[in-house]
Amino acid sequence: MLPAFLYGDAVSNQAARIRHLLRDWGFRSRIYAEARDHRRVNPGADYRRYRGNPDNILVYHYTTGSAMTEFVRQLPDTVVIYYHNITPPEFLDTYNAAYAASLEQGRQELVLFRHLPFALAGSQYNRQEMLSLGFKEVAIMPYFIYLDELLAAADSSAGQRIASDYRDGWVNILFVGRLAPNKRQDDIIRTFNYYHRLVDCRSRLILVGSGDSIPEYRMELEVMLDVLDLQHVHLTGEVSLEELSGYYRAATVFLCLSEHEGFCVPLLEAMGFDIPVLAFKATGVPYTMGQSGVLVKRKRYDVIATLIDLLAHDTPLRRDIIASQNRRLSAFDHDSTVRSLHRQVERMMQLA
Amino acid sequence: MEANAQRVEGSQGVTPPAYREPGDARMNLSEDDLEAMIEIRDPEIDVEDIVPQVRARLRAQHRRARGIGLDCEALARGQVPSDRASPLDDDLEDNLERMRASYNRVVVDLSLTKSRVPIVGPLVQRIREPLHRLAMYYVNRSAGRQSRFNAYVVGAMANLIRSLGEENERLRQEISRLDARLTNLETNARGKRE
Repeated sequence: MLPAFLYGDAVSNQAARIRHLLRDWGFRSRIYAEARDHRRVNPGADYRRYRGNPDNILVYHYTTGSAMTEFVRQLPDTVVIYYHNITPPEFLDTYNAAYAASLEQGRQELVLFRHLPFALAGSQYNRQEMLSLGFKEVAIMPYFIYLDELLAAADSSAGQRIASDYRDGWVNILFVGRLAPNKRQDDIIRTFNYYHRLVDCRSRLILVGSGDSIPEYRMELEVMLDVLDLQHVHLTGEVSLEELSGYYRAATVFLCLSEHEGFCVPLLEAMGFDIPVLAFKATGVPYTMGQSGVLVKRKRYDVIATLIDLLAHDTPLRRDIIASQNRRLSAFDHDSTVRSLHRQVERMMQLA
Repeated sequence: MEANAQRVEGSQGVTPPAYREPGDARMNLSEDDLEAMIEIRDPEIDVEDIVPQVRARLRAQHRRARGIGLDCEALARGQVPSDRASPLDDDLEDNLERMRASYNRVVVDLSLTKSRVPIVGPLVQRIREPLHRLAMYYVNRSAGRQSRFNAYVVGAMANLIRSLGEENERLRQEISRLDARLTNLETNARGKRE
């Protein structure tokens, strides 16, 4: 059960993959949601139609404040919270007060579940947060990373078209993630402003991600680009899997300056395409990166731009960083993630 | 746009994330500063090997910036590049800044007073709330379009004001030059009469 079962969303993809595997293992499994995206082949059912059953195990994907929380609390099922982290509301205060209020509600209501004997977290960072709130037993259920599908999609006509459009010897700086204040695409633009003007004018910035969830922030970015008079910045909006793969294939460096992430799947996707990753060290990002990539602890745009320059060309640093990233990716291979899910399902069944 | 400082508190019990220090724009970063800033956790890669390369490139960038009249410090801090004081009037600058800060504050929130009618009050509330939300949905769709339009207006105004400011500055300098020339001519003419 989750508040929104969307197309192309990491949490929704995780819920869909878990449903698929549970069915493969002989379980009956359905997805219930408040908002359902009908671009999905099987968009699930309205959560209000769910009839609780004490013999059922209900995994509640916890991502925001929602009327669903009170609904879940009333159910007789064995409830397992799967926490994907919630953006701190202060990031949204000046953009969308209602959205910020629902995030605040979500953070406050999380503690209502801490009495449960077992919970899941999407990352070590999320797990630590839950333990600090008083949750007793929290296991990490890693995210499935669809690298094989992404790499295959890059060979599609759409993927190849985008890759060839951008592979012209220019430095392509990429970030993938919906346009949101906590993801700090504005800081990425400031970095690119420095890089483009003082390091390499044959460069472009590609920001892949939908701007629909917080349109005010997207507009702020567009005004920023006007004021800075900055060319060669592409805000792609929502893209298909094939197009996303094309952008990864075309990228030279992946730059993440987020100030709040629970996990950040695109970091690993970029690694899968042998793109060196440079990221700001905040919240869940260093946990996801492990011992790979390059982290910066302060946002000096000149230093970040210079690191991009070192990583963008065929230098020993670039090769070493890519090698470290390939080692990191082995921790997220599909088979070990499936085994992890199997262990968590066995644990949940002990509780039921 | 200026890089705004934001202190973001993490969740309870979790180390708060790093925050930016907007005033930190010392151009001459020491090797210790750079080593403290850059983290590579792979034990086979030594940050100390990279730091001298970063410093050398930063110095080259600063030289390039000086050569083309760009304000390197402003760029490093994420500000709009400018090598001179703003030609704009203070009031105009303030108003422009207020426009930038408020162009998108057009969205409405739910503001529903509780019904005081006894017994049927909760039922009335259950009917009113979805109706209000439905109205809000359409109003906010329009507000979104208004916000987008406002963004374009703010952008156009900013460009127009900047152009006018630059033109004013150019004319001011031209007037100053002509004034000096006129004074010179008058002095020469007076000298000849005497």
